[in-house]
Parts: sequence; structure tokens; C-alpha cells
Amino acid sequence: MSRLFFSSILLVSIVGCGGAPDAQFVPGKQTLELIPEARRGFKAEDGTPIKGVRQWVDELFGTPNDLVAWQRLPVNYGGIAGAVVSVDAPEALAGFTVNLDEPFESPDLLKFTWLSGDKAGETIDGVRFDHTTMKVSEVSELPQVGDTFLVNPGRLLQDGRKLYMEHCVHCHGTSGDGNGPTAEYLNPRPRDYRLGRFKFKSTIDSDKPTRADLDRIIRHGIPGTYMPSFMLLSEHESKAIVEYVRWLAMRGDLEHRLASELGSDYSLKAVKEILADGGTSREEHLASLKAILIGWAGDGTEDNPGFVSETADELVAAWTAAEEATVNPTVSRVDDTEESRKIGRGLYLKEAKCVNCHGNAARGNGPQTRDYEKNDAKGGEPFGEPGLHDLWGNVIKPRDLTAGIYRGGRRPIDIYRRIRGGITVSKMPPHPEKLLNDEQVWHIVNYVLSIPLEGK
Amino acid sequence: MRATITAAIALLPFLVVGCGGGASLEPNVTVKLSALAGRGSDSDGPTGPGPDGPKVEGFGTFEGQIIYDGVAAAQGLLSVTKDKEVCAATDLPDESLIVGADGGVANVFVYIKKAPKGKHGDYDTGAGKFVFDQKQCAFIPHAMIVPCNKPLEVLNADPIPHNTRNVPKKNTGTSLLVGGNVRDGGSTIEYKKAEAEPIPVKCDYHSWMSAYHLPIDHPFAALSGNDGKFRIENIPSGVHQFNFWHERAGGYIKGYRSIKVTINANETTTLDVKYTAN
Repeated sequence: MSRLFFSSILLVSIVGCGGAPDAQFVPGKQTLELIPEARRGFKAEDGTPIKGVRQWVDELFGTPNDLVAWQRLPVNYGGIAGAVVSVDAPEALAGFTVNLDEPFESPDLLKFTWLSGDKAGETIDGVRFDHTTMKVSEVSELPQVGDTFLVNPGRLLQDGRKLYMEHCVHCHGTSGDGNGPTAEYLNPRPRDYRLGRFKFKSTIDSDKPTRADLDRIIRHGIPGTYMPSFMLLSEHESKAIVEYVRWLAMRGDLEHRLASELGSDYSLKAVKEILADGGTSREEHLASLKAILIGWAGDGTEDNPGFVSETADELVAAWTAAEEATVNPTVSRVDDTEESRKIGRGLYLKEAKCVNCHGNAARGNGPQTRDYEKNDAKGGEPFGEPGLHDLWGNVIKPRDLTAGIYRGGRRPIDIYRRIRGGITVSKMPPHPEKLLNDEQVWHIVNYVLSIPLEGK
Repeated sequence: MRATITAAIALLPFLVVGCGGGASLEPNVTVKLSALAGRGSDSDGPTGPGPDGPKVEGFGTFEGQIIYDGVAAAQGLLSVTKDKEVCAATDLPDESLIVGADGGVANVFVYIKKAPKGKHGDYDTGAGKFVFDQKQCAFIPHAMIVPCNKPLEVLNADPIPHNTRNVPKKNTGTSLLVGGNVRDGGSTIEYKKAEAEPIPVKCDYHSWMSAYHLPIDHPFAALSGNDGKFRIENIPSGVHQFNFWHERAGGYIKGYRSIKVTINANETTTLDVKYTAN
């Protein structure tokens, strides 16, 4: 027994340190399909790098062990914001006074990073902040009044990364590609965050989810899937994971957009075809890629921010808008009467066409589930199997409404939002006001919630 | 026994400390400021591939015909699997490949990807409405060039709803449930960005319904007509890279992806394109 114990420890000790590779974010499929120059960029004549897709993503987001908190993104990276309120006269003992947004509970030695002013971007270690208003002395260079900074920047992102690696990575993967080690054994597959598309949310159509939506999924899980409830996480922990997931989604989305921008002319397949067809030489083609990549950086002015900056702004706008875009009914729920359910059933069959997918008996087996869909990723060839497919090409089943298990939540408002906002990544369409008014949606909600109670 | 345990304890630190690599327990965080430092590039930015000279001498025309190579099979019929009382009222022709009597191929997208320098005036899309209709469970038109940032109104002449969904690459996809008999004031699709290739549009309820949209931000694009002919006017003189795209060609028509075409001022460049079946 003891020998076995000893040798197994010995084995682990010896074999274990073969040098596991550093955790890394794997590039997306579109990135890998690009020619190496598009992925890795060029070197300009003066030796400065002209960044390709991967360098941009690495520069703006870092690696799992060296995270980058890019201030442009609407991510709460943690840390406490502060600003300089007064600066001592040069002849006095050099120092300045700051105001912090919140106090620190522990007066540890902290680091802080200047966000504005001459020293923007510089980090200073070992300052003791213990009051919201306090004086920092013994500095070599004085800041200006109004300069802003963050104390302990990125703490929430760090916590999020740690918790994600503990609880989420097995299924959702390091980069949030929904392809962790256990993913292939799961049906439905874990969400791939990298397109920034989520299913169960309070916003409409392809709008981004709100923080509250993600928090709700983490806390309550998704009934009927492998996503468990993480109700035991503290509020801080859940918040940290929500921010980290949003950050991963923005990272993946940015990478996807950059790679898609180049995909039509600079994928391995495209380059082969273009060189064969058009009388363009390889040098000419690479020269135009180089010009595009130089243009991506812009020149730092408002007139020419460059493609990367513009793309980031689109992401910022989408995620920021989502926080205010929750779908709410303008009338409260219609009384759940026999009559209302009947109207709901009528709409289910006719105007809203729920029956197409969910079926006459609401078992999730409507005629649509027997159709052969076309695969957009493969030039419109039909899929090998009948049924509905989600954005990622997985076969999905419309919900069996007799089971009373609702993935996006069982509250009437959840069902309302599924109908109104849709789950477009999995073909459930949004139902606009033009088609169904609020009362009609509530009738359908009443009908849907009554289905499991009907005699079978 | 004791020796074993001692040895085991001695080795324990290795186990606990583990082996560098993997995800570290305390990741570093670096703050990156909001603004990206530009490197002072050409202020006009790139204008797409092709050595189009900065000086435009004038404007020319590009025209030609797409001719099917060989004998195309007769246009087939779509198989209508449901809502037959509406969708199968009369036979539904398969519009994925329309070859005219003289071999001309319709609905081929002929376009430049990025607008060349020296744009000819503004891209005037006119005051007309852009309409995309659905009738007898078919999209009208089957192929369409759609200007960016212009609303495209989606209508439905059928008494049953359609769920019109586009599958763009750069734009955000829209899924529009259009109720029955919407003849006016339909919901709209608006493309914010030009796509590099035509994107599929489909109806989730009727899997045979299919159309293609090419959202584009310049006027240098045309669709071939039923005789396979196309014509684009007012193209800045110079060398441009034209693409010929058709759904049944597997995307770009073989031999006609990003081909160089020289446009001379006040002249017409003619090109006949041989459509090789995929």
C-alpha cells in the first residue's frame, strides 16, 4: 500500500513537471483560415511592426496570465477611481491630495495607475490609501489637478479570471469558445461567447445581454441543460464572473470582426483563387494587405481612427446600449382565464405560427423539425440531418412545452421576453409589436404556462 | 515505512507548487489606456486592392454578358412541403440558376469590393423606396444589390406569415417575422456595412425560400439581367478588381474572382464571362 502511494507520488512528481504549456486564448476559426501575413502582420521598413489580427487581439486583451484592461471597453475591471484635487506648491514638501470614489477597507500598500495627465498609463506601486481624501507625499514628479487614476486596477477582472478557471472553463473553454474539455459530451453544447450572442436575455433579437441577464443565468443556471446554478457564489464573485464573460465575449467578437474583414480576400482559399484568376501577383496582393493593416491603426485622430478603433466603438456602443434595452411590456399580464388561454392557443396556431416548430400538441415537434435546413457555412448545402440548427450549426430541438421546463426562466415575464425578443441564435424569431400587441403576447404566455397542466 | 513517508513528505512541495505553466493563480493585469496610438498612416486609408492611380482622368463603362458554358439543365421546380394551399397554388420555379435561351445567366453579381478613389459624385441611391417582397412563398427579387444605410422594406403578399432572416457576415443579422398581407409599412432591414459577398436571405418557415442580398457602399455594382448582360457606368478610369459571384457557381465564378479590368475615360470595356458549372 505504502509503496504504491510512494511510487505514485514519485511518478507524479517526476512526470508532472514536463512543463505544461501556458494557458492561452486559442485563435478563432476565421483567424486560422487567414494567410500567415494577415494573422501575424508585417514588419515595416523601419522595423516597426504592422500588426495582424492576432497581435491586435493580444495587444488589446493580453493572455490568460497577463490580462489587459483596455479602458475603452465598457467592462468594470475593478479598482477604485480617484482624482487629484490639489497639488502642493513646488517649494513645499512635494505631494498632492486626492479624492477617491470609495474608501478602502484595508490600508494595504496598493498600486495605482494614472489614467489621464502627463503620466497616463504609468503605474506606481506601494502607496497607502486609507481615506477617501488623503495626501500622497514623497513623489518625484507632481501631477496636475484633475488627473485621474485607478487604485488597484483590474482587481475584479483578476478575480473573474480566477473564478472562471475554477467554475466555467471545463465547459466554456479558456477563450470562451464553448469548447472546454467536457464540451463534446454535452448536448446542448456550452455557449460559445465569441460572437457576443446569447440566448436567454431580456433584450430583443440580436441585442447584447445585460449584466443582470448574465448574473441571472449564473445564479439560476439553465434548467434542462448542463448549466448549473451557482447560487452559492457571493455577490462579488458573480459580478466578477459576469464582467470576465463580457470581456471574453468582446475579445472574441473583436477578433471575429477583424478576421472577417480580411477573410474574403486574405484567407488561404481566397488568396489561392485570386492569384489563379485575376492576374494579380502575390507581391501586389500582399502589398494591398499591408496597406489595409497600416490603415487599421489609423493615425490617432478623430478623422481617421482606423478600423480597429472603429470596430471597438461598435462593440462599445452595442454593449452599452444593451444595459438600457430591456424589453418590458406596457400592459401588465392579462388575467389567466380560460378565455385568455383560448385566445393564446388561437394565436399560437395562426398569427404567431408557434405551431410550426413547437407542434400542434406543443411537444416541440412541429413540421419545421422535419425540414432539411440549408447550411450557410457550407454555401447553402443542406445539412446531413433534418431539424433546426442554431448559429453554431448544432441541431436544436424547439422546447417541448408540455414539460414545464423553461431554459430562460419560468416567470411569466421570462416567457413574455422569449416571445417578444426571440432567441434568434436558435431560430426562435422575435415577435414585433406589428404582429402581436402586448395583450396578445400575454394571452400566449397564459396559454403556454397552462400547457403542462392540461390532462395528457 | 517511516522512510517512505519521509520521502513522500519531501516530495510534497513539488506537488503543491506544481509545475509553472497552465493558468496562473494570480494573473497580472496591465491597464491599457483608451486611445490607440496611431502610426500616422496614409490619411485616406486604403481604398482596396488594386493600383488605382490617384489621378482620375475620366469615367468609363464596363459591360458584358455572362454565358453558360455548355447546356444548362432546364429550370426545375421547388418542392413545396407545407402551406400548400398558398405556396403551391401554382408551380414554384427554382430561381437558383436562370439561363436564358441564348445561354445568358441571370442574377450574377458583378462588383468591386471597395470603392476606388475618385468617386464619381455622391452615391445617389435616389428617393425611391427599396422593397423586398414575398409572394407565393418566394422572395421578390431573388437577387438584390442593397445600398448601405438605406431602409429596405420587407413586405408579404401572402395571407400567411413569413420569417425573413438574413445571414450576414459583417452586419448584425435580422430575423423579421412578417405577418400575412403586409402591403405597406413593413418592417425594415438596414445594412450598416458593405459585405464582401452576397449574403443569403431565407424564410425560417419555408425552407425552400431563398434570396441573396449584396449590401454595398458604392455604386460600382450590377446584376446580370435575364439575358446575362450587365452594365456599370461612370466608373473612374484606371485598373479595378471586379468580382463575379453567383450562388450556383459555389460563390465566385471560376476564373473571375478579383480580376483586373482596365477602364478608360469615355470608353466602354467589354468582357464576356464564361460561366463554368460548379
